Amino acid sequence: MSEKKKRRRSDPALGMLMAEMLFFFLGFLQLAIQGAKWESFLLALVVPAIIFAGNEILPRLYPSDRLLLSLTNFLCALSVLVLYRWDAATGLSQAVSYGVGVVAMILCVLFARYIPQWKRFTPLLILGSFAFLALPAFLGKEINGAKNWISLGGFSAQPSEFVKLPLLLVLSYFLSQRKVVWAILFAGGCLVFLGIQRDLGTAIVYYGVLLCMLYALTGSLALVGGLAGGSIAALAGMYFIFQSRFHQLFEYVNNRLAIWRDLWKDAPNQITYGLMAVVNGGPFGTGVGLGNAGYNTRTHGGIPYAENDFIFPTIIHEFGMVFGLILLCMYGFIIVRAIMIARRSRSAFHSLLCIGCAALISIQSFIIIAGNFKLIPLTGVTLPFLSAGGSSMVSSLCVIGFLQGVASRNEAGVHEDRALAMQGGEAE
Amino acid sequence: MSEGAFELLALLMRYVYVLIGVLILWRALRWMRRDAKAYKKEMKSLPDAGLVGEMVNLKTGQAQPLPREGIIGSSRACDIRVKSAGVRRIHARFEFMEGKGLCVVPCWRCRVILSGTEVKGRGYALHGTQLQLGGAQLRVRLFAGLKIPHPAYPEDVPPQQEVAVMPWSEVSQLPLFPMPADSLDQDGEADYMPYSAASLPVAPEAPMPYPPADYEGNYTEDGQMTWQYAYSLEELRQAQENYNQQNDEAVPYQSPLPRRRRRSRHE
Amino acid sequence: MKQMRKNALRLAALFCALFAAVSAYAVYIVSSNEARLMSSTYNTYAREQRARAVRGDILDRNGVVLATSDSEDHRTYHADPQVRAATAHAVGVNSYRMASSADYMFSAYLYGLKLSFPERLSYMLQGKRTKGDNVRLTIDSRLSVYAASRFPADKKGAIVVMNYQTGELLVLQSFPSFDPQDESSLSAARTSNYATGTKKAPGSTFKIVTAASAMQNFPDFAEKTYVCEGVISFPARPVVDAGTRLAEGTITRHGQTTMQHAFAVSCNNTFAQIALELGDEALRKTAEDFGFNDNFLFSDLVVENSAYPAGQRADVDVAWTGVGQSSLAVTPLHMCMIASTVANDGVMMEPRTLKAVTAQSGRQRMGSSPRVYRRPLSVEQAAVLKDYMRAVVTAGTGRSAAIEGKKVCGKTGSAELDNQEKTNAWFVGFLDEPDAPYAVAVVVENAGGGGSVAAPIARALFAWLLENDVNGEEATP
Repeated sequence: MSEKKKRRRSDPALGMLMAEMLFFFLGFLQLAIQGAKWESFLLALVVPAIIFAGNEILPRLYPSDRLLLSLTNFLCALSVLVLYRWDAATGLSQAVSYGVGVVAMILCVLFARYIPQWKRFTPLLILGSFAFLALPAFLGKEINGAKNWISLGGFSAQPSEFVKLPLLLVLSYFLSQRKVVWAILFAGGCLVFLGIQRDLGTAIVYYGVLLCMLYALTGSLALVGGLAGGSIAALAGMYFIFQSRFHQLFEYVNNRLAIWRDLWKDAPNQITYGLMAVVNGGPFGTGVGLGNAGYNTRTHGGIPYAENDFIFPTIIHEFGMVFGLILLCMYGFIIVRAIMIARRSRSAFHSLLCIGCAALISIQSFIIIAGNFKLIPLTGVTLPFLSAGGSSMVSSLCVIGFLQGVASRNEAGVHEDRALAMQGGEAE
Repeated sequence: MSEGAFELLALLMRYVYVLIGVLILWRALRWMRRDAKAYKKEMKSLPDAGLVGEMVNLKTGQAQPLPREGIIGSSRACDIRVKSAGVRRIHARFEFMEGKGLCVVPCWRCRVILSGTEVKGRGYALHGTQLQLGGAQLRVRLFAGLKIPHPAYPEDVPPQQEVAVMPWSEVSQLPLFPMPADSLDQDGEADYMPYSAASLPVAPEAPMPYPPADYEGNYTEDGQMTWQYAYSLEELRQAQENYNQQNDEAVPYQSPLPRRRRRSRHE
Repeated sequence: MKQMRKNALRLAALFCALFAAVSAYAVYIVSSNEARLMSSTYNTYAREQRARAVRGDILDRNGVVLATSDSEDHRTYHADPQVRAATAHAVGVNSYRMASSADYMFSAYLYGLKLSFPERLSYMLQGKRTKGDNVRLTIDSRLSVYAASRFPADKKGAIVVMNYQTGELLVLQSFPSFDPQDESSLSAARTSNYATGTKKAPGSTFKIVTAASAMQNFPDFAEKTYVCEGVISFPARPVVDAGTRLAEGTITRHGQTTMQHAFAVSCNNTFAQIALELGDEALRKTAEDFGFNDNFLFSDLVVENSAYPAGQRADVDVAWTGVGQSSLAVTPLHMCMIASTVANDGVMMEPRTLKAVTAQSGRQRMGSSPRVYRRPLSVEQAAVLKDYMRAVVTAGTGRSAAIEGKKVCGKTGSAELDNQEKTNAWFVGFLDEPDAPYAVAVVVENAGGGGSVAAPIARALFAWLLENDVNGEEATP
């Protein structure tokens, strides 16, 4: 009886791997049939192979958390599929970013796993973050009202995406030492820089992460609520005092607030296009390759910025609302897994780091998806893993790297404990 | 492929993708549950996982498990709860550091006294170290096998400090002869928990552990041997004098005392 | 550390709640805006889908085919030009994108965008263009033709007939009308939907709202008496009653009246006094309970929002608002809804034009059920207002709407407009009969008094409704 049970209890990891490989094989095959390009046929074989490598071979090369890696691989490969459908060049450049991201992820895993004491690194990280944030002010170019991109030799990157990582490390360090004031000051400094660059979306994300980590540490809603309320009051105060300057600087904010209040104000705006795409898709989508939502950007019927801000409606347009809910569940699983890792860790620093990573992914995803559906005004943050954009992909993978590093640290800790317990029993 | 046929294919595939997506979610859920169950089982078999020892409240005798990192204070959120006068809600932070011991960092404007000296900044507690927070006295017990430089020495405890009195009922649990405090094996590691002389009872009225002169092997009803004097003090002094005398005459030793037999429990 | 673990769990719950909230809101906003998004001109995908489909038929409530399409998706309408003209605004002409018309609002159903996969598959396999679903409206074509025949020619206005228990609209007509079959009759003026899109001052019909407000705020309203002196002098616009010509010195006085009597004879002075006594705030609150200043988001219709002016207002404006003038703006449909609230024990139903959506195979894909929009009045208050409105028809300004032996209730209105020679004739009313629960709103622009012009039209409609069964089988008009 127990043998029968053992045979029936199949390995979930294998099941997931098979399902993912099948998904991308069918997806790229379908695109290949539609476009009749030989390279799509090639991709239909290559991408599942990469999934296999990513889920089976890669985890054995470094201390990893396989479940997290599996889910992440699926989301990244999905973004490659959708962007490839949109434009072959974008798809391939996303694949390249994914490769770079995996390397960066492994580095981050090693950082999180093997560095026991972050005290020495903290001043360096603080200076580095401020330097990175200040960079666009000098080298930057302005896109869509926010000046937070730099371009060096053909590559454009968003430094505020990368500053997420030292931010997490520094905040975790300060908070684990219970130096709450220092943590708030550092975060405040970053926010000031972001305010100067007018990158409000990322500022809100950083702020949210700070509040979540503070709550995790202190557990006092009073402190967190007080801080949130106080800063909102301060912002409102500044708004009323410097009203004219604000209007001039943040004109696009007013625009977005107006659309948020009334969807049909300037009838064909970004959000209506996004919602139209979703509605056209229906529960199961229009079918991959049959949709028309953002493939002619900036023309009628196309969603502007379909590839980064509006990637979620673009995916839902072809795959359906039900699939969109499935994607949200996947993000939820990643976050739940991150919190599980946080609860198992033995040191406050690593626990806070994991909580910060979870907060980062969840707040960022929530803000952009809620903005797409008009729950909150639209902001310019990207959806982790699914958005096009090298910096977004790489930094999200690095966050996953931190999580895996702490997970492997936990496992090592369990080994240590087991050794400790055994030692006590074997002693004569 | 003709457009119509491709359209048909795409419409059919929609459901396939959703199905595969649901499958992936289902597998991920199973994986997580299985992982959580395995972890719980592991943790059950390692009751001391994540702990480095115990913190004993000397006044109440209550011992609390000591995690690797945590906070001491009077609030319920603390890992080590100390309810006493003068102990703030979060009084101090502790963290176990390999090779250095338990690092105790008092919070702002909190006094922590570590083995008689006040901690300024951070202090390192070892096994047996006594902490004083407000009105509470705590002793740190660390598990064997942890990498700490050395256990606490009796010299660490200044004489004017009140030393803990072990209840008499515990004394009978101790081995008969206390081992010397500085015995280490060849690796330089202590492989047992030594007792310092300070932790043993110092009760002047307690009888010396020798069997009495009229000892006939008195046992209680359940076979326990009762400790009574085997010889009186007078007899002992006499024996000592005899021995000294005999030594001076360089005579081979002969026990000055009449032969007694002490019946042992293991007969 | 253990506290951190507990907090981490709480944060996990928070994050999951965030995601759940986003999912729920996404589903909500997509489903509530679906019709408008699908019909939008900027929706290229939907346009492409529509180009590949043939529209289904539009039928009236009894199955009379009002519009049908051939295999090239060219629309042809009913053979009888009278029927075409009478139902033109309800059916609509797609090329003109007429809001509140069936061809526009229900285009998702008509173009087959709600077809299930097997149905679409069968069309694809047969190689034919997808034919959409048939849409059955609540409109009654016979009553519409009859109503159009009673409306004075070459006047602008609207007629709305609504079932006050279910919210179904039987007649939704605007005048002047057009012929959907005839391209030359299509013009912006003719295709605009007066009933749902034109807001004008309601005149004395607003006294229903003023009376309701008085009932809610004065506990002793039944016994209160007012004295109508004929003129309440304000320097800008003194409040006078109908028939008063200050220049000539003829002043209509009603003397001491109760509210019921003042309502029946439509005494402006009394209601101006009531409005001043209530104050702008209280009156506005009652108006907003009835749906003023609300953003109408009905699923079947696009209705212009009714406006009750905001901000601090002078007494003269408040007084005239109580009488139904002074920057009030209402659509005829909304006034019909207000009348039906009184009829329906204080419950305002959402107006609907969609009765059912049937697939080409004959199977009903979707029905529709009554939806409550608001509950402005309690049952007792509605009963009292019903008595007032009965008094209007038995002994007041609405006598020309009375039908012997049947309980007709109503309120007349004659709205003055600055650039018009005559007043707009308004009549809103209902039949208080259990087997004919219908409410009517009639507006004739620039035509004279409500009691003389609009009330007889309403009477004719009520008479028709009492004699004919609206749910008859395939009856030929």
